[in-house]
Amino acid sequence: MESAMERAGAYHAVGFGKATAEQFRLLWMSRRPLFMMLGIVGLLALFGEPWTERPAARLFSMWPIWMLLAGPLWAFAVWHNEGPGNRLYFWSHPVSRTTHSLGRLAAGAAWLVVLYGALVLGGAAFAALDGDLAQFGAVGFTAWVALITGPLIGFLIISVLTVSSDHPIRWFLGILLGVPLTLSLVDEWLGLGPALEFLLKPLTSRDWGLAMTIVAPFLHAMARVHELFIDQGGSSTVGDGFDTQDWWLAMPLWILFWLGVVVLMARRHPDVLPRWRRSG
Amino acid sequence: MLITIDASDARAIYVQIMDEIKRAVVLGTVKPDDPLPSVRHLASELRVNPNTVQQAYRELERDGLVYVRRGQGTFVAPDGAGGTARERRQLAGMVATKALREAYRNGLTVEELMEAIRDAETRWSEDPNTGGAR
Amino acid sequence: MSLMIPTELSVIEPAVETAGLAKRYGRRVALDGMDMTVPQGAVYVLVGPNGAGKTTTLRILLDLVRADAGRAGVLGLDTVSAGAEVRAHCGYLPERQDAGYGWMKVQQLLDHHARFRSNWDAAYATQLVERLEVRDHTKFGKLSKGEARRVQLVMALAHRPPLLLLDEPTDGLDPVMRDEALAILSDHVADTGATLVISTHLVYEVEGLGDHLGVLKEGVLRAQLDRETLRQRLRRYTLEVAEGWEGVPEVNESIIRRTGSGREVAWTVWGEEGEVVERLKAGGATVRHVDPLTLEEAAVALLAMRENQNRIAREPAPAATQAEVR
Repeated sequence: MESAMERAGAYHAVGFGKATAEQFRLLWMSRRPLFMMLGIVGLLALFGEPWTERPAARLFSMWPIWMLLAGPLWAFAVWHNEGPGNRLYFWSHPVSRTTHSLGRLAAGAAWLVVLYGALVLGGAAFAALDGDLAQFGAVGFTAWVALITGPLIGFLIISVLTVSSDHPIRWFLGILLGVPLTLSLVDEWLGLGPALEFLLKPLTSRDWGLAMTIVAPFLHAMARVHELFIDQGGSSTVGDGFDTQDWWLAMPLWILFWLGVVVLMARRHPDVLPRWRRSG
Repeated sequence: MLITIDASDARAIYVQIMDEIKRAVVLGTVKPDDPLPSVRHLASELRVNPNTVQQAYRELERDGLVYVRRGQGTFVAPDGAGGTARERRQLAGMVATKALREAYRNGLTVEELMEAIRDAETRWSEDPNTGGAR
Repeated sequence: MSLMIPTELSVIEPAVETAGLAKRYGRRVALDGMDMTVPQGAVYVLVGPNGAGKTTTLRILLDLVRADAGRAGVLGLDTVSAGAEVRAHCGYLPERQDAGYGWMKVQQLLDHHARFRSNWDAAYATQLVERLEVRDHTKFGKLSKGEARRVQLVMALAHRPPLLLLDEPTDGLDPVMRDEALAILSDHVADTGATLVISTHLVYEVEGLGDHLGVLKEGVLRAQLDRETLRQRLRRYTLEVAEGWEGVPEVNESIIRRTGSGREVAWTVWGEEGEVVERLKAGGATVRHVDPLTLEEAAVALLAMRENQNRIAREPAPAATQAEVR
């Protein structure tokens, strides 16, 4: 009978890499990435632009919009049925709490990238079938990167809620409806317009604001797509206001900012018990 | 060899295990140099803590009833077995104590108990199936 | 002769040690200064009524719950600063049958669980699956409570952890499986020398396994002692007494429990047997017999102990009582 102490050295905590890999596998087993993919393809089939002659263009021209929605939605799906109050099993693994939460998020982000890659490849395949591959490739590096960083930032923002609350959807809807309403009321009654404008600058700035960082590249990319596939070189009116250089600076900073908030929230020890008070 | 224990018995579990093994030795169901079940096996079978079985074996070894062969297990000692007069007396003493305790609990005297035992024996020898037992 | 039931165990290098653990949920107090010591290799039975703080204690040991005050150490590791390490060394059977992913098949869940455990013994896991008759191709969420608990038992054991924390391990198991589970736990102790902490209110089930008892009530350990001490010092005295006999003052304050009435009574008394018998005799009682208690009986008696009875022991003891305990 060897003593428990002697064998103790054989028991290790699991690090970030291994935990993330297992969460990546777990998400796959849950079939959620598959559902997300089917969802997007389904939307493409439903809302694909019927006026386009070319199937490649039809498929390719709309999916970035759906990706933009998929980012935040996917953040909810990653913790489906597993709010912090219900993460007893998740946290009973030998992984530090913060590491493990971030592992799940990293795995989620990785799936988002995989999904994006699949859509790009799918688009490329269709484009190749149509003989449009050269034009497809002309979309441009910045646009390619921007098409995935937007959804990732959305994913991170929603993750702040999913990591810290049992009811992220309620919080999301509350903020979505409550904040603009409150602001407009404040603006209306108190006339704090200029102060508000200053406060909201991080969101609204055309150069480096959050909204622009996420959306502008999409508009830009969409414009390029239209140019290349639909207008066949004609001029486009969308996509104004996208300054590649500003964006390359703002994008990583915004990612870092939201990552920071997510890490901060993940570090909190939310006490799991209040919902299970009856247990002794 | 059959070893049974009773969780509600007042004797400590390791004592019960010792008594059971002593009983088996006296009855001759285990012979000298026969192996005893391994600690792990017996503990698992009785659903008890292996340390308890270990303790019982240790005490038996100290009493000279069993011996340990390193890496092979525990065996019945040659001179410990075979229902010698001393062991038989010990066993009888154990049974008597149990009976006496029960008698006292029911407010009976030793004489009343002894008489009842003789009566029961007579009935038993007439019809072993119903005699003695209630 | 005042009541001095130990609430402290002195052990070198305990497997589990907590000091002054306190936890409240809103206005409800779950733990209120819990000092627990589990020696290496012990099978520690933590008994208490529902809501006494048993589940909270186990969760604090794994850092699933954070205490409001106090600290907890597991195998020499601090549960807060080294939570992941602590969990690596523990097998945990949670109280909730839904701890695990309901959408996974049992085999998938076991695989997933295994990937986090450096010492996972796949062959042993298979053996446990067979012994516990676990259906491994069914979805975990579709299992009955008993089946789910059996799967959780496999998950707690298959990496042969040096410390097992079992929260109501037999809850929901049918008699056959309960029996099998106890045999498996016995094997685990024999094979690994592991320390077990078993929270339960069905003490008779672990009568054969338990060698330490912790009695938790209202967030405080009312008694904590090893089984031998319990056998020696806590006994039931069956007495024949005169009608209306009031007892002996020195003994009366050490009575944990009284049963029977009229001329035949049984008192559960804490103290050295010879001394207690002598005093009872001197007071006019006839001592019919004296019996040690089973773990179950002891737990019931200690739980029924009046709330402030053992507080005496927690306050600085006067010189006279100190001498008595030696």
